[in-house]
Amino acid sequence: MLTRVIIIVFLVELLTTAAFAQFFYFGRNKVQYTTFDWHVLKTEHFDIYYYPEMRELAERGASFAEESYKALEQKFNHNVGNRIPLIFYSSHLHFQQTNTTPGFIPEGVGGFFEFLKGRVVIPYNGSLWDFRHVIKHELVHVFMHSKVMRVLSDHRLAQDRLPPLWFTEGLAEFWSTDWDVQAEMVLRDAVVNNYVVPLSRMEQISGSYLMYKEGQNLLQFLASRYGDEKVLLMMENFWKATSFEDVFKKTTGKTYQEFDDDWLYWLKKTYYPLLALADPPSAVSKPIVEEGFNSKPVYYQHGTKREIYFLGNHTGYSSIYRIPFDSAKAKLEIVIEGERTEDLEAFHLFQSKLDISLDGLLAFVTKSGENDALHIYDIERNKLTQTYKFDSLVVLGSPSWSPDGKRIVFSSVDKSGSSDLYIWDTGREELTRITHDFYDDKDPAWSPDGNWIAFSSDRTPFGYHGKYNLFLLNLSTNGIEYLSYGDESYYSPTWSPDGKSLVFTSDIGGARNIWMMQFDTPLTPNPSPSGRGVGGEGGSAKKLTHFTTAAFDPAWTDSGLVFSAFEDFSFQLRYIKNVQKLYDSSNTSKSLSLTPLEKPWEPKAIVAEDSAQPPRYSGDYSLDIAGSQISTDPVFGTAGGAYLALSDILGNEQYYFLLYNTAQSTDELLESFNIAVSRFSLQQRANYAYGVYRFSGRRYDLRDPDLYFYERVFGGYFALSYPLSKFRRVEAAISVSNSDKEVIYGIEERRALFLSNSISFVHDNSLWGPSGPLDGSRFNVTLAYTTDIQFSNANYYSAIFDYRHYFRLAQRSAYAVRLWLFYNEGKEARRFFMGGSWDLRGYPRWSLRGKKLWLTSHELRFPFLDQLGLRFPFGGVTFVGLRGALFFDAGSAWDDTYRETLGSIGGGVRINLGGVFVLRYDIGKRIVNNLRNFDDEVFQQFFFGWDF
Amino acid sequence: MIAVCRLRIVEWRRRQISLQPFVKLFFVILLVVGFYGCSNLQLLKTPQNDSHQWQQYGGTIERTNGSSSLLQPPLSVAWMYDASAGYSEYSVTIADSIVYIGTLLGEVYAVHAHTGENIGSYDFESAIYGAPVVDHSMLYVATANSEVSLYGFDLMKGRVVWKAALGGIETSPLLLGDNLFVTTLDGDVYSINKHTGTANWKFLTPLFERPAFLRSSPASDGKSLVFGCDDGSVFCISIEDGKLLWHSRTEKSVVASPSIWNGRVFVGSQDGAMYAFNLSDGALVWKQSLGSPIYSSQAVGEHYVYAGTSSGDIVCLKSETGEILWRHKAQSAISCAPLLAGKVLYVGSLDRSLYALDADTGTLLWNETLEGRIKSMPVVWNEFLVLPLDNKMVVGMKRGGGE
Repeated sequence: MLTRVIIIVFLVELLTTAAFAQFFYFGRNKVQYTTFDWHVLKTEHFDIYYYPEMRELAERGASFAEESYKALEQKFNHNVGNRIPLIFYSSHLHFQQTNTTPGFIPEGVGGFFEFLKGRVVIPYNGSLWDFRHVIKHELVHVFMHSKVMRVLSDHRLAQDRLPPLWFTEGLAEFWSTDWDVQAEMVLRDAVVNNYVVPLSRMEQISGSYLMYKEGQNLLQFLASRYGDEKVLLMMENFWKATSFEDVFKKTTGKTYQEFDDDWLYWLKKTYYPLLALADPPSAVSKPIVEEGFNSKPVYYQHGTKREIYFLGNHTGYSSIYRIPFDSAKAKLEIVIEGERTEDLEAFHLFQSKLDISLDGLLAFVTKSGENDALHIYDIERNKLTQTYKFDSLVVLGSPSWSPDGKRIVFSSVDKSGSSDLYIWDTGREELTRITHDFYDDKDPAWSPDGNWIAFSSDRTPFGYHGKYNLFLLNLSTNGIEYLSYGDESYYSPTWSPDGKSLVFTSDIGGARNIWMMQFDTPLTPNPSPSGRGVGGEGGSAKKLTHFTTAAFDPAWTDSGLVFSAFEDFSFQLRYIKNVQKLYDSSNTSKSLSLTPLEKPWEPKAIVAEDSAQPPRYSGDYSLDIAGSQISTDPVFGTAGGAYLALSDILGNEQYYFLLYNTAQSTDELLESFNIAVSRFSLQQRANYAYGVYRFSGRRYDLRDPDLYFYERVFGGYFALSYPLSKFRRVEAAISVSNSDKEVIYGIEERRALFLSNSISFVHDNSLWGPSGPLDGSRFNVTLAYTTDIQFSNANYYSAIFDYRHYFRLAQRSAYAVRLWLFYNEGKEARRFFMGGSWDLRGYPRWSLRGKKLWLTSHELRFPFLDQLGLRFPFGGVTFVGLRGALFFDAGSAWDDTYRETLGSIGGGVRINLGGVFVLRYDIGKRIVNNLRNFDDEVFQQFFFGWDF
Repeated sequence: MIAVCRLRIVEWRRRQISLQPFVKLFFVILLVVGFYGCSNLQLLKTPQNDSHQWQQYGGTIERTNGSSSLLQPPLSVAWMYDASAGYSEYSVTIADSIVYIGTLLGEVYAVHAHTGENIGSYDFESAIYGAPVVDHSMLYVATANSEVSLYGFDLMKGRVVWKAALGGIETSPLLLGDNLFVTTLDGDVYSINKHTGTANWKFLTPLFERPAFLRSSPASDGKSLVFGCDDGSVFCISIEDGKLLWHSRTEKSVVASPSIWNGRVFVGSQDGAMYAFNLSDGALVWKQSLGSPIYSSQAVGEHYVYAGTSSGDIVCLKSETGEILWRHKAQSAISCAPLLAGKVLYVGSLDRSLYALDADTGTLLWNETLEGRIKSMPVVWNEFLVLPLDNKMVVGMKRGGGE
């Protein structure tokens, strides 16, 4: 406890005194690019936070939320007692800026429910169906949490536990959506490839997408086999046991193992027969890339050069790759590396396709600062030639070149959340919006004759249930015509080079496969009497592939189709040839009747009462944490105090209060009060913090020349952090503090009125492995100056240079380098310290101190043991991911006269425990005498901490 | 020397003797605290027959949820009692001006019906879902304990006089003559001698497709016993020997307790329909869809059946045909049975409101928003309406009364 108090004090001091210059941190930045003008729409059960650009979307979301609430009330036989805060963002890029959670939000996260304030935060992705699903999914979490807490409270039990993650996420999926094609794809693959994780070992895949789908399937099976009512009963019985497995047994009568026997057998019975009618992609197609995650392939031919370009992630960073096509020894090459710089921050791996014009210009989209950008890369010159950004457009996707190479059509989500199609004329630099409605239009593909754009959209009545059909946009008339019409989904239309065929993917039959339609007569841009350019009432499509799992994004090559296929929980690039032969011999066809049966759908909305002036958000604060503690220490005595933190519902404004007392006798009471109040503001791009404090007590400070003293200090600080991008930022701080120090052992007193200033530049684009960074680099350069403006008792400046680089050697191996140069000079300059497992290994922790310090570390990081299991008759324990290291450290610390260069060499093992901390063990030898000799003894150090 | 020793011995003995009263007092206090710490539920006078008593859940063995007391709204809170625990949908029982409250923490509290003043409590150490049954000076309590789950408690002696290990019970026992009838989570139905706690017979629910719990309290016409099952079944067995008489099906779980009226069995199912079966042979008379799952039991009056649904609908159906006569919408789910008191239907909802509707027309006569959700049915006794809330309080309401 006292350590925590010290840490809090330490953190405050971090921002206030010269110590700030000596301690630093890295980390990427959550950049508030956008100023959101928040408003609040109040419905019967919700407070919905939105910004005016997306008001219509918020009103639709409100309707979805109330509809879900009513449905869940019935399922749970329960209601939520308080109003639920719902925070909407009109795009994922805006969502990534949220302060409702301190962490970074990966692209795959579709929303979350946050327990502390009961907030539900949801981005829109262009699809109203997805929006409705995610709202309901998160509300299942809200209801489940409320129900379980109520059950525990009714039985007067501590409300300190929740069901396991497989249940909470499985339930959220089970009660928010039907079992769909994507879920089916995952389970089929898992069963056929034998990697289904049984319920009894579900913790092994905790948090993964597989867990979500297995959880959903498991609950579905449980309901059908043991009764619908068992799912709700599981929550109502939650009080009966502390172990959820016991609750499960009391509810179903089965242990996890017994249930697994039923469930796994049922899965096999369900999915094994599929192999009679369909095949895994690997059995019937040729591999191009099998490792890692690969998507959105596109073919390029220039002379004899034949290549496939695609989006992939093989190293932890998403990038654009290329591979020679149809070569036995084809080797992957990174063309454009992503996720290291602001311009190419993220590639939207599974969402946005690539396209290459006939003259070799690759068009692709990345996140680039606040919004997405459209880039043009000249393949022959290996050079990025153009980058386009559009102020009004937030998310871009799937560019497609016109045949003359002068225009690009792409889909985009604007600030209101509308997902529409746009054409960008690269010559005239003109942007034209070609669809403008609430339907989700995507995957545009320009026809070879230049007259049509095929695309996928939910603008049929089936779109209300999340179905996407294919459409043709007539560029002469701007009219939109059906290409398909049915209660199934169609995606990724791609024209054959001659324009006579269109391949696409569809989930007809329950799995997403490649289909093709052929146009018997050429498409005419002039309207026929029926109003359609496509000849006749409709055509038919034939199925080209019969995969057990799924195929995505087919692209024509000169001899067949290349596509992305899901198998063995990876997305592989594969190839089929003789497309015409496959078409001619296919026995599976679908007639496409294009007569619309109903009008397209219109989503309901709950409109704000005051449509002229929607209520603006003015701040809604609540307590985040409050606590009190007492501790005692043989050296520092007893301390007791309390702390609390408040923040607003959007997480933008945070307040921290600390109060404790270190008095050892009553006459010290008033003197020994310690108070700190801070405010952090994260709403704008420049984050700032300020506060006041008063601290008094005995201190042991490794940085201080006096080491052990009694100090009374009061003052204030202001700190600023300005992110230049996700990877770089500038920080500055200023503080004024009055310090009255009594040096205990020296029986001296020192008074000072410190003015401290510091400025830092931080860079971090490192990629982390299980025990520390494996790729990228990070550095911190800090300059600081501290002076006593009243008594001239201190006057020093500080310079810090901390550079770390990680050279990737293989998927899980790296060579890491670190260089420290720390310099303090002046009156009462602080000391740096090092020694121990975190820096100069082999020496006692923090045993080396000096006003100047340098250190260099070189470490080879590699996987050591993938799994180590110990099994006893009564149970076992398994350690996964043990990593090894070989290292060399050298450095020194001194005040005025350089002493000796010290070093060490050795090896070690690290293990990550629960993703929370890393245990580390090092063994080696010191190198002494200015690196001339090895020490006789071998040192061993066992500690915790991440690799540098 | 010897004299000194003797003197000292005498002094020591004096000291010894002088401590004894304190030691005795200490043990007396310990005994009293120990005794009262476990139980202080002991009545000072034998409970009298009470024409308006609500002796067991449902009011009568047919579980019609109709009160003999007439209580007209508006009502206001006359007293509140804090039992500091949650309650199930089965609510309280009242006899001779004493309200008996069973809690999910396993305690039974007895409070004065007029004032809410505490009389005593007893800890049965396992959750009590069903309403305790009061029969003169005996109280019968069923708990969720998977072993010993049924107790006969003597209110005059203030202690348990018998107990029976039947497996966990989350329903209300039925008292009929000298016997108690209970349905258990293990799927068993017992007939228990109310004087001794011994079983007369046991009925094992047949497994049709899968094991299923019994969370529906049994109802009776005096000859047969009817109850619902989690697998959607409705069973009828003989009171005499527990033999199966008939069995009918609904499409989803039946956790509501059936009501018997005029040769018909009425019960709601989680499939969203209200069912009426012939009591004699289980034939389906009518089935009426109410649109959303039904978790709670119904009230039955002359020619009418009143039910609540999880979508907040309070519905009146004609008992002969199932025709919906009127519907009233609450703001949230109805999780407990309504109570019919004369021409007034009292219904509680999770929206924290207690509604009073005209039983014939469905017109809203009065409603009041209380401090907690209403998940337990109201009980009317004389001029009081007693209602547990989910904020752990029990309120006594009275016409024109006040705190």
